[in-house]
Amino acid sequence: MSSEVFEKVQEIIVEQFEKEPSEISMDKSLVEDLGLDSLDMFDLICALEKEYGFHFEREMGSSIETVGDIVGQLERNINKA
Amino acid sequence: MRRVVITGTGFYSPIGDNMADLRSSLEQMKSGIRFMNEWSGVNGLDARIAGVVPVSDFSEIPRAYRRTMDRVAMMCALSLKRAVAQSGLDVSQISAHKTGISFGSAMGGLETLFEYAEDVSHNSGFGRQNATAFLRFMSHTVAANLAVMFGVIGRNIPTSSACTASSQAIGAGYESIKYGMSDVMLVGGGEGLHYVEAGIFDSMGATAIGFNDNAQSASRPFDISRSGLIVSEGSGALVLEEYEYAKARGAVILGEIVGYATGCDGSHITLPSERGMEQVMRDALADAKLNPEDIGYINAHATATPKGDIFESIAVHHVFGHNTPISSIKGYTGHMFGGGGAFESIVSLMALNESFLPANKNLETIDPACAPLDYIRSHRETKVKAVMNNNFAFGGINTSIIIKKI
Repeated sequence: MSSEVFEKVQEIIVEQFEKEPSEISMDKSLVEDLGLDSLDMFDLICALEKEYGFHFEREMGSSIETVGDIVGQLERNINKA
Repeated sequence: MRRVVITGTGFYSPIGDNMADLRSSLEQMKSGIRFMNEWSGVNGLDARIAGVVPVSDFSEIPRAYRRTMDRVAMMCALSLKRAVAQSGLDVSQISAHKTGISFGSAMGGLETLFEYAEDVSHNSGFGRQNATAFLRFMSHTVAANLAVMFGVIGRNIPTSSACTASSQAIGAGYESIKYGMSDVMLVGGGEGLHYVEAGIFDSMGATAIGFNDNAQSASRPFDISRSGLIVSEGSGALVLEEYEYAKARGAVILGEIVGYATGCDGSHITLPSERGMEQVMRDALADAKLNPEDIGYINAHATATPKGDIFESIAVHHVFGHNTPISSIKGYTGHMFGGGGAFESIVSLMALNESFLPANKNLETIDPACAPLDYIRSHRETKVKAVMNNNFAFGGINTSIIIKKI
């Protein structure tokens, strides 16, 4: 499942933040490597919520640092559902 | 007293986004108003035509800035970028403490606001809304976003007085420099087109009806068969500088703003007052220390509404008599609302510098209820020393700007 979720996250980041797919990997920091700021983080979570249909708790946003963190959070929510 | 000069301009309009195209459209009397196929799914609209800026690619603006901009802010941003380039100001001068900004629009980011409201109401509630939506639709979105993009740290004066939003921005910039608070002011405004505007003015009986199949003839300032305004979009930006500051850095000076006034009718929320219009023109002339006969061209507000054009013509007649050439360019563009004041000031500057006075498009038979004025019927090649640009807004807010050759 990890690969499928990663591809979707990659697709959203590419489209929303005008990045190249090659820039995005599981270990990349969203802030340090991809240059997202707090507004971008909220918009990313919003896009993921729309895509997957569940709600991220606000504090969850602050625990996300890397692309892999997002993929992990999504997988845990998908498994719970 | 500190003098205020213009050293750069930039704009988007339905009839061009550069001086050559603008002049060509005015010479050929080509309108930028067209039928809006895009509105075919909107119920209940009477006027289905609009003035459209044929530009949709704003990728020139880096994403970090573009993400919080609606169409109106993007048009203003690129207009200002061109104006700054023409002025030759460098980054350190733009980011100096005494460089400020004043920009406005009537509606903020209407397209984003409408999408946001629709999504909250019908789909997602507040759970899945973008964090950037408000920053795109807030009333001061243009001034706020442009200050960030250009790195302005001086005064920021957003304006939002509908049809006088950008003329008041020019006035705020002029006064900031004249009275010593700023050396440079980046000023202007804009409006992004949305069918809600057409619907709003339909509801007030203010749009032109009967021209959906004849868009070129729809906007008819001062003509007897005019029936209302045509909504449109666009933007205008000007770089204003204190004269000695501009001269010291060797800037090319395009013109000097010598007079500005703003006033209020204080009488009716929509019905204009000829007394208020007359007063603001007299106040601008007094500020400029000029007499009416010094003005060689008047760029009228004239939106082609049945009453507004009459009141305006009477007010002009009271101040100037019947000999001063006058035209409204809304016959070509429609009503750009928050962008009108700045764009029409740029057209007035063109009249001054190119000795080109544009004609009133679609003026076939002058309404006998309008005062006897020198309505320009076909464009003229006439040298003028000073020009006046007038704008009037709902709420009885009036502005008058006088620009002179230096």
